[in-house]
Amino acid sequence: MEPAPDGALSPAAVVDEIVVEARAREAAPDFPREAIEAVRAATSWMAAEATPGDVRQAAQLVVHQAGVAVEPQLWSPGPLRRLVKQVVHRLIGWYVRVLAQQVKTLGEATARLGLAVAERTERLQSEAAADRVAVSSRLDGLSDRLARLEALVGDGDGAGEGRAGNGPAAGDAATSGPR
Amino acid sequence: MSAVHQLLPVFAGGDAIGHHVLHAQQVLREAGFESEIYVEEAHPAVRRRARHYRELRARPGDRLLYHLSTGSPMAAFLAEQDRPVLVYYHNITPASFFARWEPVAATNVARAREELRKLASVTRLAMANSEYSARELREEGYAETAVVPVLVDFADLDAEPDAAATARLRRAAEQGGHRWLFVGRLAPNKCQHDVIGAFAAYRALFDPAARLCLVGGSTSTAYRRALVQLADELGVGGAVELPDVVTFPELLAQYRAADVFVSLSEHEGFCVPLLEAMHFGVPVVARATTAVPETVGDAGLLLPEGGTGKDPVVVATAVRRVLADGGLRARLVAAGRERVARYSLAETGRRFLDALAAHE
Repeated sequence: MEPAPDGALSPAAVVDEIVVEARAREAAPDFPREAIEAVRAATSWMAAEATPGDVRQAAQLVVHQAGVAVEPQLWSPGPLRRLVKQVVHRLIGWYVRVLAQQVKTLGEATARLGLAVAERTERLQSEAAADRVAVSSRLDGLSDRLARLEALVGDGDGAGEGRAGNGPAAGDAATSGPR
Repeated sequence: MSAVHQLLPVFAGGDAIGHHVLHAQQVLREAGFESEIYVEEAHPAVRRRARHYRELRARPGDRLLYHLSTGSPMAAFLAEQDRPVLVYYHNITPASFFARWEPVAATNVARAREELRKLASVTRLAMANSEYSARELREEGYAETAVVPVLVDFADLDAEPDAAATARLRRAAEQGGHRWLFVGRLAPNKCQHDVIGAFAAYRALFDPAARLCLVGGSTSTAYRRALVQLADELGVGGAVELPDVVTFPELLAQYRAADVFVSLSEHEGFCVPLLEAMHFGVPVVARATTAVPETVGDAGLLLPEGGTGKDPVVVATAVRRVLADGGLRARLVAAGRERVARYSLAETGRRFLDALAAHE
């Protein structure tokens, strides 16, 4: 590339600017977030290389493969072969279309099943994640209580003499955690 | 007179490999070599220029140059010949790109890679269309490699474009809106889906009247169908053209009408259309994957190789910048013309003959 005129950026520097500008645009209040997220969602499942274990991606593929192409390539290098293909195509075309329709219907049903499984799996995963957070929070609460109890027991062994009984302190009794 | 005969599985004539083979034959003959083309299959338009590979009767001293890009029984045939082989490696698209959309093609390219490996031991010289491809050859055990870019005669592109297509595109331009173009087979590795996504973002953000044309024959019916559905789903179906295979004059009309060439391909061994766009003064925005940075150099905006480089907002912003910044566009177009000059047929033909001479 010719040397850039005074103050002009190299293509690489322009690209750096573009990435920053794109991020700033996304942060703007008038950014069409919904439309762009729709673009990202629609193109991501078509990613050139499949994501292993992506049920939704696999089910989407069934949707597209289900539309069976019934119009074959009739071209051949030899005219005789080309003619034979055309004749066979005319003779059995109607029958192939009937079969293709059934395969398409089956494919669409399979895809619906796949998408339903994907949705259910995603919902269960989401619920399981929420449960994990709740359990983790309760375990933290129990750990705190245990620490406080151990501290109390320690106090009882030493300076805390004279307290009646072995029950928990009033503060512990007021907590709502499981026992 | 010694001979350098070329062998290739499919001789289509109109694609980059077909043009390369014809130009190589011309360069070889002008240099005083005998040179015939042997094929497994040939398109009717070029059938008379080739013979079936089983008709090959090479004399002692004749050299055989095999163009490798796909699986073929010709590889085994060549390995059986009791003579050293020359290979021109056009690159093989990794099978993983086809596994989802076109399992048969995935099997074929996997077989081609296996054949590439097997030919290494009988190959005296392996030429590659780019340093990226040459690296792959070395990894597969090829001892002698040379980078010889694809032979392209850019003067061919100065022919008269199709009149009807030119008139139609002119009428479309009068409606306003910039015109995006990508040229290449409709194939998952070319990521036309990302181009459609970026184009939809561009229309939403900057130019609701913009249009996109994706020129190229389809290798996967399912992928093509998915592209059409994607464009409809994103509300840009009426603005995206998928003309399938076009005639050469129609292709010229498309290049002349384009405002920007956008490539988001994930795998390219060279990518001739990038240079063709530069020849027409169309600024290039491309994702910097595989051999693309080598081909583009500093004559285009190279977006990062990772996810950022195909993010629809980033691509749309890059296209906007190129189209809105006249100074940048002029610099890229000028650099593109310089780039094309480096790949002139005189220059690449000389490199081709030099590589052959170094391994007589």
